[in-house]
Amino acid sequence: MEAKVISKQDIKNWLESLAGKYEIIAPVTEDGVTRFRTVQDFSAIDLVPTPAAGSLRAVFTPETETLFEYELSGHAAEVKVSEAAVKDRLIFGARACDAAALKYVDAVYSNVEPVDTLYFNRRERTAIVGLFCSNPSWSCFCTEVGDFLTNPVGMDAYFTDIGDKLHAEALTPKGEELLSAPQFKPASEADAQAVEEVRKKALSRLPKPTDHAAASKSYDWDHPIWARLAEKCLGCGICAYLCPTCHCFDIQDCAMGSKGGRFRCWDTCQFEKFTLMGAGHNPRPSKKERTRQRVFHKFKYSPERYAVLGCVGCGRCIAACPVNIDIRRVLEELESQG
Amino acid sequence: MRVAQEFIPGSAKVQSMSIKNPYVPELAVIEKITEETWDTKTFRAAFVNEEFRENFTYKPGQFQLVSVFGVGEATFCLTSAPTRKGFVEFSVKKVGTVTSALHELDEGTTVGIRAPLGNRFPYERFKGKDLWFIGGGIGMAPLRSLLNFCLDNRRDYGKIGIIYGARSSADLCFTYEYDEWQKSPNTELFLTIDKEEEGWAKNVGFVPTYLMDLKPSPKNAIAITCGPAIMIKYVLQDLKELGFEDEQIWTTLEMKMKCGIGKCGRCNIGHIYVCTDGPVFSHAQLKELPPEY
Amino acid sequence: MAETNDMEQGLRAKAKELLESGQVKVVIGYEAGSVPFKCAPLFAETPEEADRLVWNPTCVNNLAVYLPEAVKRGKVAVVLKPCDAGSIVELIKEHQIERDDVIAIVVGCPGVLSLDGLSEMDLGDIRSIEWRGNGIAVTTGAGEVTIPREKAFAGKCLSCQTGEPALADIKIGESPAREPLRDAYISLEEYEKMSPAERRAFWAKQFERCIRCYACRAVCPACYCSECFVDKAAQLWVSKSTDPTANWFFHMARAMHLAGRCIGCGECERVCPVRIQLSLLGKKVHIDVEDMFDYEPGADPEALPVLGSFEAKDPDPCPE
Repeated sequence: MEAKVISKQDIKNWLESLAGKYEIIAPVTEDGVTRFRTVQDFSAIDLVPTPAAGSLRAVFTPETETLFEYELSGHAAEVKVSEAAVKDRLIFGARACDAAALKYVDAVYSNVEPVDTLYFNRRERTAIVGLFCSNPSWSCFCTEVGDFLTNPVGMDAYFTDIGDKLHAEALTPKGEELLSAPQFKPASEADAQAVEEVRKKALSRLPKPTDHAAASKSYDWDHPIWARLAEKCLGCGICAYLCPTCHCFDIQDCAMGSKGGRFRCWDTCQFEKFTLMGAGHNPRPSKKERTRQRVFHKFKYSPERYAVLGCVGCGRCIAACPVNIDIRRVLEELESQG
Repeated sequence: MRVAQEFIPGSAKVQSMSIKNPYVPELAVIEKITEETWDTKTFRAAFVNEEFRENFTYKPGQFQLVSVFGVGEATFCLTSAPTRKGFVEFSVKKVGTVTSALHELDEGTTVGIRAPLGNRFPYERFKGKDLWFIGGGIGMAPLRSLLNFCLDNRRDYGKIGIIYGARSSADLCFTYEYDEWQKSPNTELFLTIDKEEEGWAKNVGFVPTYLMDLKPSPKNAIAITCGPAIMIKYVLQDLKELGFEDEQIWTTLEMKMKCGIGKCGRCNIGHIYVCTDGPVFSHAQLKELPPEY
Repeated sequence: MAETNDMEQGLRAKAKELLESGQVKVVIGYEAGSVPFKCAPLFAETPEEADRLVWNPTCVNNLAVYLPEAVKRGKVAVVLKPCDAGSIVELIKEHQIERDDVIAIVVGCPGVLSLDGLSEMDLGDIRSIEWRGNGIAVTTGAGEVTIPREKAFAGKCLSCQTGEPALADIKIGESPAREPLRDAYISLEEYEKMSPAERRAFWAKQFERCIRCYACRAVCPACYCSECFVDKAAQLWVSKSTDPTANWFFHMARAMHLAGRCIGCGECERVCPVRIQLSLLGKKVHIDVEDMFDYEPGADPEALPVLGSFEAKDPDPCPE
């Protein structure tokens, strides 16, 4: 399908025309925090923050998700699984990094059977329209870890802001279906040229690619950096909770008398109790082991297991770390000679 | 070692809602509770769903996630042997929240079980060889599954030696099966306890020390060990000293688990997950992994 | 400001002296961050490392959070803003550190940066930030921009009284005397006008965002429990889920645990990724403690912990 354009004034009625079929999810800013929320009022959509403070993780794996409910009576038990169907959803304004992160999580949640049906049920019912980052943030480094900013993956259509209109490219049959709406007109040569300008300008602010997966083959298990990071790191977990590729979770029960349920909730290897065993042994007893685990998991174990790097360079961990642990500097030090 | 699958984009198997949510357990009733020691009980459970119960199979070395509804779920090896059908067994040492809750249950209670999970002992490779089972304390539980499986297929294996030790005679598990083990042809049981005890006529000494006294030959042999970390460490050293190669030494690891199916990220050692790529590993495989377990 | 450059030099010299003489094992301070508008904590163990110490408007962190762990190495010196010194007072009172374990180096503080004050700028273009006049000067590719303190500084700085710090072994420079721009409790005034139903709705909206990352807990010097109540598995006090009841319980219980102990450093609010107004919650509890017990946390090293002691005149709200 050839490229299209949609005037910014038409976005609202395009989304309105879809609102019957899809639950529209887009970045919304409240009290200074931009997160992906279900929107009914399309004028509330805020496409400026790059990236949004919240990633798409909550859209596919909510912070807390019920797995099943149970009821006990005497010695017997009954388990009830929710039959609620997942509605079709459309994410508008996803960033290339967040969409690429979904491909990584796809790999993790399907690598071994049984696959995570809860995640994939949402995944197959969600269309994603991405937006090119015209104004990358100081903490963005996606181009260092992949080329998905200009060759997007994990989305159905890719929009670029070229002034009074958005340039639109379909990437999948679903994307083609979306772009066949009457609000979309064919893109002109001038439009294509404008996209090139926007792309060039953004890329000039972003770093060059580095093959961290290859470099990770010789990462030093006993590098002095781990002890130094352990000194500073507070073990707060913000890096993991904002990270779009983090997929770790805890499973807990909730009991109210004879009824209750089991849920899963986000968790992180940065917390001390993550690997703590019942009898008291903890394979990662200090922040030294835990900071190393984070870096190795993203940059070494992930390429080894999934042939995909576990980091999409969104920079949220860099911006949010209270003590300025900057993953780019950590990798530089790990990968420097001597 | 099963090589981690390469992810091929687009091959994620998406299943519809009618396929069961993998985090939901099967219901099972506790049929029998055996008190092994002051802090360890063995539970025998049978799946409630008849069809599931009839068709349930597993391999020695696999594990299960047992739920006490309202308290939580924890990992236990399948200590029963798959050759003995109609039930599963798990041995529970009381150390934490879920294990304490299990210890409070009576026979007849319904629990949840997700099984079978994990990899297994590659028993085909053990056929025709001498097998040495080296266990300490509750470490005997995972070994028992393979041991009884091999005894039920006795002709497939060579000499079987079982070295099993605990702190004291009161800490020894599965005492009710020792006669059965010893009655099996070409099978010998070597028990040991840490300290002298009145009325104890058998060996006294730590398992690794006893191992060195017995000096099993590595020729055409396989050693399978499980027990406290410190015991495993010395047993591995001793087996190497006796001439066992890394590929001849097998163990089963314990890690904190939640999902049991390689999703929650908790049980990794390097790029492998103990719940899907383990818990059974050879020493050759362990040597390739980061020393973090 | 020439004076603050002097403070940085003075700080480095003092730190080197403490390390060279063997008086301390480590000096905990600030060093340049990976970008010009952030700093990073520094654990200097040698005079060479002490040369990396900085003192500038980006030095926002309350370094007292590292003390209970750091003093296990031996005697520690720590760089503190006058407001952070209150944390040490409470840690000593609660025997998390002994008075002799720590040398408190209090630096004169004109005020520290709030990144919100730079929100109109392209952060990637910033080259340096320094104190200038009553605010800061930011150098970018395009030149220099001065930002007045109302916009540049953290909220707590605008109400700072710049009195004497509660505790100081070494003082480097003096905080400039200045009029507080606003009352410490300005946000409380608005809050206290709200009816109970409005307050409930306000906090419900705030806590709905909470993702239970526990960054607020991790950065707080007063949250040093080896096993936090939210992490207890046997006797589960609060569910790990993010459902509204669980989130309320976490924040309210934490606010109660901090009653009379929180010195208002504001780090919790600074680090919260979803911008929950935690310092408002802290301030409200603080003012209630002040009203009920006439007690100011972090002020008097000799005073007993307010909720760890009682006096006959303590209010007894039980109805007759």
